Amino acid sequence: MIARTLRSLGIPQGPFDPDGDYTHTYVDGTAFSRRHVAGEVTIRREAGGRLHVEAYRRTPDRTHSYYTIADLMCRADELSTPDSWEVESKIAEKAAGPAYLSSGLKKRAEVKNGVLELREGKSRHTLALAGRYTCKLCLLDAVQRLPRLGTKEVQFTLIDEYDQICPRQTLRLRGKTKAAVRGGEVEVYLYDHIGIATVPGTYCVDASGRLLVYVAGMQALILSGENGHKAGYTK
Amino acid sequence: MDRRRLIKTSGVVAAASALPAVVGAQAAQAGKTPNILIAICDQMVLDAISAYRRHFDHKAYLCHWVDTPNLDELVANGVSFTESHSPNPVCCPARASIFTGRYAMETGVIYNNVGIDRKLPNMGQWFETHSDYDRVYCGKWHAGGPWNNPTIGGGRKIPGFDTLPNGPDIWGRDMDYGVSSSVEAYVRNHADDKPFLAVAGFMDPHDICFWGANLGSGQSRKTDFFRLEGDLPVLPPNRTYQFDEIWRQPSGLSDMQWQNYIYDYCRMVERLDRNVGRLLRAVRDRGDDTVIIFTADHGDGVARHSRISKWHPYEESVKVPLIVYGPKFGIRRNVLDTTHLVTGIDIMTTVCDYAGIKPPPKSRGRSLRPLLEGTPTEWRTSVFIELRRVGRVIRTAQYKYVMSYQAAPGPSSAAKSKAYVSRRDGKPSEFLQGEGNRLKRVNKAMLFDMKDDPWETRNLAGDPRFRAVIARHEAILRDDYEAHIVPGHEFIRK
Repeated sequence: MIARTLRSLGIPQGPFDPDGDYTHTYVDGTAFSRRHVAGEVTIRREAGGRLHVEAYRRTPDRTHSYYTIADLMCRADELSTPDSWEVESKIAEKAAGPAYLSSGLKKRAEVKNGVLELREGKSRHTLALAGRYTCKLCLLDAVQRLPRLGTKEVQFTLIDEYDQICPRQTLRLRGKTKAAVRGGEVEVYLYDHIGIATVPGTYCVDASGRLLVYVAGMQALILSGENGHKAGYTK
Repeated sequence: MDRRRLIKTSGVVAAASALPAVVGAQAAQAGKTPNILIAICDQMVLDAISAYRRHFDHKAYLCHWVDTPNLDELVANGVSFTESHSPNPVCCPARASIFTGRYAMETGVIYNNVGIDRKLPNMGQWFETHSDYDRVYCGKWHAGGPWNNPTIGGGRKIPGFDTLPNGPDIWGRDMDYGVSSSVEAYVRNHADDKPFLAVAGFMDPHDICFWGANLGSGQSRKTDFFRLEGDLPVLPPNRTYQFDEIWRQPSGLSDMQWQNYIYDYCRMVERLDRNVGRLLRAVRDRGDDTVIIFTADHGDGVARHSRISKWHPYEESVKVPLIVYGPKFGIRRNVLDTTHLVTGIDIMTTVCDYAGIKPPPKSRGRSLRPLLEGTPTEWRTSVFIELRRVGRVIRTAQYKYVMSYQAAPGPSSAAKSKAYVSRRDGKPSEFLQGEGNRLKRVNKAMLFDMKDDPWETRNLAGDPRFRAVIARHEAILRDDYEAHIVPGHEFIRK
């Protein structure tokens, strides 16, 4: 599946620094043969470790989409470990529009001394976090650092997507290989992700660390843009 | 049945007796009808909840391979049933029955992608005309025709419900987080002036249907592709048992592929669990002013009898989780009911009971309320399950009897001639009243002794020692179900 996707993918030209400022956009679709596209995920990293993650998925009502918009303060480590974050979710006509039918919710979270404090609406909860952790979509940033760090395996707790605890996660280097892409061949690193509530999946990054494709079960995230330039993914 | 007997026969989880019984008076104390939140998932086998490990002790049950803290919390604070059955183990027929309280032969939804008989009110319509509840639906519905998820308006709106639109198509990961967080927001934001009836229709773990086409691709028949090693589950003891049936045929997966299949399935259930967790936390933050019902439309083969998917009469296909939570409304905590035969048909009647309204005429289910609150009651001694339009199952405390039919000549609609209706214009297919019942009996029956053979490995239907048992179960079907459900029904006996 990954090889098939890469063959139709035009890799962005130029250098890439996973610790620098960048914006990546991914098509959020299915790995199923029909290549159903559900929406997009855009992740923007800024100096100081701020991640802005904006995701939308279309609804059967073409006038409305489901949005999650998150800002996270992250460390520049193997997991892009977030220390605090805010996330807004809603069904709306556009990202900046009002939530449809009471569907809007904002949450804030902060981790201190192994305790996740979560503010959901008017409520406040604390959840224990054992060991290393990250949020699901932070992994899109984190895996880009792994080739440079030489990481073979890392174990952690996953927070899905921003508020539910999934323990016993493993991110593991499957290997390095040459892969055909549109117009040539690139060296890619493959990292497998398994764990509780995680359908086994694989991240595929190029030698500079750029995340090209993530496939897990039915879901595929495929790089479609970098810093405003199309990556040339063709369906 | 008195409380002492119920606890004895129900195998109550140990801590239950230590908790004080919450009685109906407490609900009255609240002075208002509860909000109702139904979380219905897709294709979940009953035993895939980690809290059930003490009840299902065989290591091949999925409770030993999943981590479901939120469902466990529902189990620990509500009543759950181990004899809970799908009305019809296929998406559309099951869902149509759950949301109307009628059997498929009445709703007309005798297989997938057929719409409900418009004369029958669904839950939303019934609440709209008989209560002051706000009603909202989010996620998978798949009981209105050849589409899964409702729109705000137009041909894909569910009558009687407002819509929180979510999920573009049939892929689980694309929608369930959206469903849970949207319904969570609705629950958290809803004002107290009126109660709500909210439904969260989750897709997980239905995507396992596509395991062969996609999830398992790249995985050889013998390789542990993701190095899952000790996390690969034990295969069921009935893995290789097959019978001469008319149902879908077994899948030819290798043992390693089956293990990967079950492993992935368990992860989908855990993903579902996290989505349920959002709803549960929201309800708790409201002060538990809500009754939660968690269930599924049908189960999955999960390698038992070499089956993937549903459609067939075995336990893994027809048994579904059913947990009811509502500690502020008299619903007991931590009760695992292992004796009472219940079915998704009962949900409509139950929610009407808690809402303080009468169920629709000819509702076939019974309110679960006495079982939930520990009130003595006489309960049914059999459950009726339809299998698409070609099978009938009578389940009693000890036996499961499966009868097979084939379509008989007679007037039929377009719906009958197409197993899958491909139109996508949102219009439900029409059907002719009674067409699901013009069936001819075929000589392929199964009888299982569920006490002695819970994995269903010995078909006793051909054993002359069980003629009386079979006759009794056929009489139950005829007298207790067919005769009442479809007066003047058109079954053609061989």
